[in-house]
Amino acid sequence: LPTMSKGASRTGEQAWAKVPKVNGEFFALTYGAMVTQLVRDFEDVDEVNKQLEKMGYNIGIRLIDEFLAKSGINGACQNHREVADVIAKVAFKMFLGVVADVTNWNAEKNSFCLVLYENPLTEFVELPTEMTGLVYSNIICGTIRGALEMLQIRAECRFIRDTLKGDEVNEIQVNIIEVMEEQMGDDYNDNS
Amino acid sequence: TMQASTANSNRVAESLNHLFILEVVSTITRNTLTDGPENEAEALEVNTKLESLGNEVGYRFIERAAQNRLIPTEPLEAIKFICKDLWQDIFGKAVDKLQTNHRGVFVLKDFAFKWISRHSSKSDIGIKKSQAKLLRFPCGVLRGSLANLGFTAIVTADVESNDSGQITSFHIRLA
Repeated sequence: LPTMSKGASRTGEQAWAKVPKVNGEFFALTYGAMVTQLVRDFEDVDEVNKQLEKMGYNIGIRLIDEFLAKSGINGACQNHREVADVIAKVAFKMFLGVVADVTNWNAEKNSFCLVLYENPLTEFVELPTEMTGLVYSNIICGTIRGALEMLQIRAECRFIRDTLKGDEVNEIQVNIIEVMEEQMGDDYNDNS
Repeated sequence: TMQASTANSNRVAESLNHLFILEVVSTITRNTLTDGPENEAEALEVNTKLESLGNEVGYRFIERAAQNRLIPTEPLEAIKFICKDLWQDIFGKAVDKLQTNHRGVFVLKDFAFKWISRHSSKSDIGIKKSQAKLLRFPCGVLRGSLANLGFTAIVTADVESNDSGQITSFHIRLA
């Protein structure tokens, strides 16, 4: 299992080295301006969170094509653990330039967490005290959900720890609800 | 050159940034429209919001991009700085051609502007409208960056098609 993770890390680094890249600060500033616009447009912070998640979803369903084309991943994932490693070590790396750690598997092995030590979105951000309900980086959750859906994996993602709220790290919980097994290889094993 | 840092956490994939910008345009459009097809007032509101978003980002970005660098105060030099350094930072390439009448009007031409598809049909009205809308954001970025350098500008953009692809032009008029 550590070998699998190392393989994914190397794949991620190679993909990141090859993809065209742009300035991360500009991206972060644009994201911040967008969040501010949403906060202005919607009084309810929960609605802003939903908007961010939806934006992420719309990005994820398209980003997956780029991922499949450029990641260097050749076959389908064989199980949930591989899906998690690929998200954490390949996808995060090749798009955001940072890797996540996979932790906290549940007993059924259909739920895990992604721990992010660095979040390119939040470089200059401080949440005002009246906005503690805002899930600033919710776009990431939506992106994961959208991308997985294109791979016939229905999942829910949510932030359970957030550095903007004083936590030490960012942690996203991913719950895999359903896999359309006919679409995956016969070898796909939900519970390994 | 321009890039202050090459640390991984200071860059993101261009593909992600592009999809994100498209989604910003989409979301602002969706949230501005009331029922039914887009009317002229709504189109104007969307364009204004996108330009305004760009203005804010441009203003703040050049602040950081300009740290540790000597910023030109003369108009032509300031525009050149934007064409080379700022454009390189944001789009990974410099502007391809700069024209001026030396009386406050500048035209920046990009032969492969990242956010405009190279394969759009010349005659597709829908695509032309989307492009015009999307371009309000980088127009705002230019206006905001110039503002932080002390220049008041009006910025517009258009896309021309020729045999080799699309030429995106940004027209800057300094006050």
